Amino acid sequence: MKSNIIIVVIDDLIDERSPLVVKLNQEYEQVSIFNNSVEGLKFIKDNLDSKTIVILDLTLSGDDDNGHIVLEKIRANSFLIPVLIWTASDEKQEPFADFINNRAFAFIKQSRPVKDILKIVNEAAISLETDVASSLEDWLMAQPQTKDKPYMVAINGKSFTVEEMLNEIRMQSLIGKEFSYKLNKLTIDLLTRNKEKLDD
Amino acid sequence: MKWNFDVSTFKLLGRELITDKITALFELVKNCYDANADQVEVIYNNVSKIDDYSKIIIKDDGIGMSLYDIRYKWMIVGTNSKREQKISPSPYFRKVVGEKGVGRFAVEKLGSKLLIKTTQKGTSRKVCLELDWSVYERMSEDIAKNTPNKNTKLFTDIENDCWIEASDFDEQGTELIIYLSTSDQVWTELDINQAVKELSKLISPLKKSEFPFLITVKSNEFEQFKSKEITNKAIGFATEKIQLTSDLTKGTQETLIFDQGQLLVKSIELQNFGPINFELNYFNQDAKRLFKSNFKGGDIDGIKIYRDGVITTPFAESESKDVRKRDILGIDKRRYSGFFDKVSSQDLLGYIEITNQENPRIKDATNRQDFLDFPEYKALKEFIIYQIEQLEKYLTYIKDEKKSQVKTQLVTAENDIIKIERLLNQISEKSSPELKDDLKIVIKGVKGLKSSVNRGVRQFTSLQKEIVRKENIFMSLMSLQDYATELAHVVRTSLGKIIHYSEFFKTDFPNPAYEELFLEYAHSIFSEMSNLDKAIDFMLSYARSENDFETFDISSLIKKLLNVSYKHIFDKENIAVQIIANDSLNITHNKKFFEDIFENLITNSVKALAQTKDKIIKCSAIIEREKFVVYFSDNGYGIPEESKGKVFDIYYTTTNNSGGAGIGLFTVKKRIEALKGNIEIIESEFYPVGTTFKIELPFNQ
Repeated sequence: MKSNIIIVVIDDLIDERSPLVVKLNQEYEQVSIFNNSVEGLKFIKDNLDSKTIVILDLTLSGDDDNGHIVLEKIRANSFLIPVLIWTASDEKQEPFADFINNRAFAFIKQSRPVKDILKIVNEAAISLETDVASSLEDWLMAQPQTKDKPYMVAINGKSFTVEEMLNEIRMQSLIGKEFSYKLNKLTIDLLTRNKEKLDD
Repeated sequence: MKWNFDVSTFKLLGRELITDKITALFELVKNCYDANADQVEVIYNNVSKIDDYSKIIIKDDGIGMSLYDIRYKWMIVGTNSKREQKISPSPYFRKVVGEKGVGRFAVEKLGSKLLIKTTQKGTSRKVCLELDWSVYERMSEDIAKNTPNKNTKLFTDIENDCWIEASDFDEQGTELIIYLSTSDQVWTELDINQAVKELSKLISPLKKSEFPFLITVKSNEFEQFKSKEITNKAIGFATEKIQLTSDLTKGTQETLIFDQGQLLVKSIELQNFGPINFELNYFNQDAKRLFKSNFKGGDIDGIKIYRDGVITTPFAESESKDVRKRDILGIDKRRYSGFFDKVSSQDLLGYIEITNQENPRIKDATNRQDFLDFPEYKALKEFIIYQIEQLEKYLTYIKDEKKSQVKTQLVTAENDIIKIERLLNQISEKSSPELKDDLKIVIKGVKGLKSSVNRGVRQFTSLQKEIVRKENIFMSLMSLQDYATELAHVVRTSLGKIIHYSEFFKTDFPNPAYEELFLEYAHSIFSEMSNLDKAIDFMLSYARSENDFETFDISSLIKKLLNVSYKHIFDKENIAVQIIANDSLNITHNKKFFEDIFENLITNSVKALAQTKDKIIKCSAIIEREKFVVYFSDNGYGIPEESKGKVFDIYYTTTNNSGGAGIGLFTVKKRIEALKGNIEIIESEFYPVGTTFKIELPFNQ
């Protein structure tokens, strides 16, 4: 069974015939390739309701933004999308502070065997599937919501529409994290007092 | 529950922050400065071979410490008492220079046991404290062997001996007695010499203080250091001496500017790094000799930064055995791209003065090897390099002036001699026979002189040419750093692809679903290998090239290539060739490189013209605004707009399928850049179809 996580590759020298993409296609339903960052970013934004993993080339050529800036732009929309930075150039010369602050998932040299790259992608996939925030995002996305009566989520006396709370979670703001934490606590509490069961 | 530390914390603080014993000594002497000392004695006793009397004593006459100070400041790790008080007490008001409060751990680097004796004025008590690091060492070994339990003694549990001795009422100062006991704590004469050298750089020669700071080094083993006073002598003998100041009230900073043969000082706005004072001394060969013979301890070793009159830590680090000096400002790095007209850090002695207050963003990095890479520090570096560049322009101008002066002088001398010869002949005609004989000898001598001078002039001219030729050869070879970077990048890119293709064979072969893919990968592996081969050839051509340089005219070469060498291809493909190349430019370079450039351009054009009806290749070589410009055009397929930025990238190719290797335009660009020239794609001469390359080459070839 192939995973339905969408792999987004932003790299100007890659196409569907590249070995990495062929191997990715063996395990993932959808691998979308973009040769420039503008189209790649648009796709990510349009697909925030799906689970995505991004493989981002550090040195997109020509006038295109470099990987540092693209990562920043992705993060302006969500902190929940794992972004794998990869590069052919010398990693020792690369500034990396912003990678940490913008929570890049991994940094990969392009010359590493496809097997290793795949392994890291799979790790990102597991992290995505089991991440509390991601699960929460899934759940919230599934809640019905209309303009007249938005589905509300309350925390600390304040009310948020599902949409607002989703954004807080995606940006990993204090409210978003607090909501996740409190919901977890509530769930664990209910479970351990046998008020609920963890079945599908 | 309370915080506590184990002994290794102690080691960590001291050893990791302070890399060698000279830096350690430096830190301790800095502390004396901060304590308003007028004089410091650094006494080396039996330091070259360890015995019971081996010790180093650092004794100052500063304000000293009280018992309170010892207990609540000295014995507290990482105290920030220095960070709060930026200025030493009245009336000295020295800007405090020992920053991180770990100087006391520097003593651990120097010896195994420390005895501090300190007293303040106005008391007859002298506080004494003994710290025995070997005890701590043994403890940490014990802890390493056994698991910690409630009886384990930690660093902060150890009691250190402390007592009071008598002192004079008016006496003040601190004495650090450091006992050496292990062989790695030994100091050789070379080490002491190095320490003396470094200590002399501690104080800026520019700062004239009301309360000067005097350091004396004494050694009981080495005659030359029996009692050596350390000073930073003012600089003499410089060929060029430049002083730039700044004015806070006016908000101005002085900077150099080379303009029409003169090196001028101009006032500009204060820069983002704050006001600085800068003294720059340049030494030519003769000046260096004079300096070295007069300042036996001195080195001409580049530019250093002083903060509040004391040297900053990145310039204080020294590798005493390894004479490598860190070129923090990057002065010598520039010389990789052409160094005949550039000065190195061995030609300059410079002092940059900053203050903690006005230049707060110039911060020493924690590892003390450099400054933190803030934009302000980058700007400071650029400012300094800019000053050096102005100096270089001036020096080059002087050199050229001298050259033409010498030549003029020689030619004038030659003309003068011809005049003398003529005059002598005139005199000879009107003279008596006896005089004629004498004059004959003189005239013969003058003739000999004339031919000597004439020879001199010709030799001078050809020597000039030879020097210029050699300089050009050197300068036009790709700089070593670029070379290494290019090679690494090229090889890694190709290798990366080959790794992935062959890995796929390994993991997925055989698989009928991928048959087409396997074929394609096999082909790609082959072409990547070929790319690698070509790339390495290209690199090697630089490694060997200096032997193949010759002087030739570019225009003639172009004409030959288009009219003769490639005629058969143009005829076969039915391509009309237009050449405009009447201006000439002689260059000294590797002819083959040039032929490669045109081979690439021609090959690309031929491919682009494959489907065109009336094929044209046009090449114009003209002189345009002091540059030699070549326009190379075809009316073929053209290059798509979005690719124009990428065509010179190393593996870009649109012609992959027709066997193009993709490395062509990359090599063209590199060759042209190595000539200090430029290549770009401009609007096609045959708009809306076709492509035009514009190549610019500067004239000083």
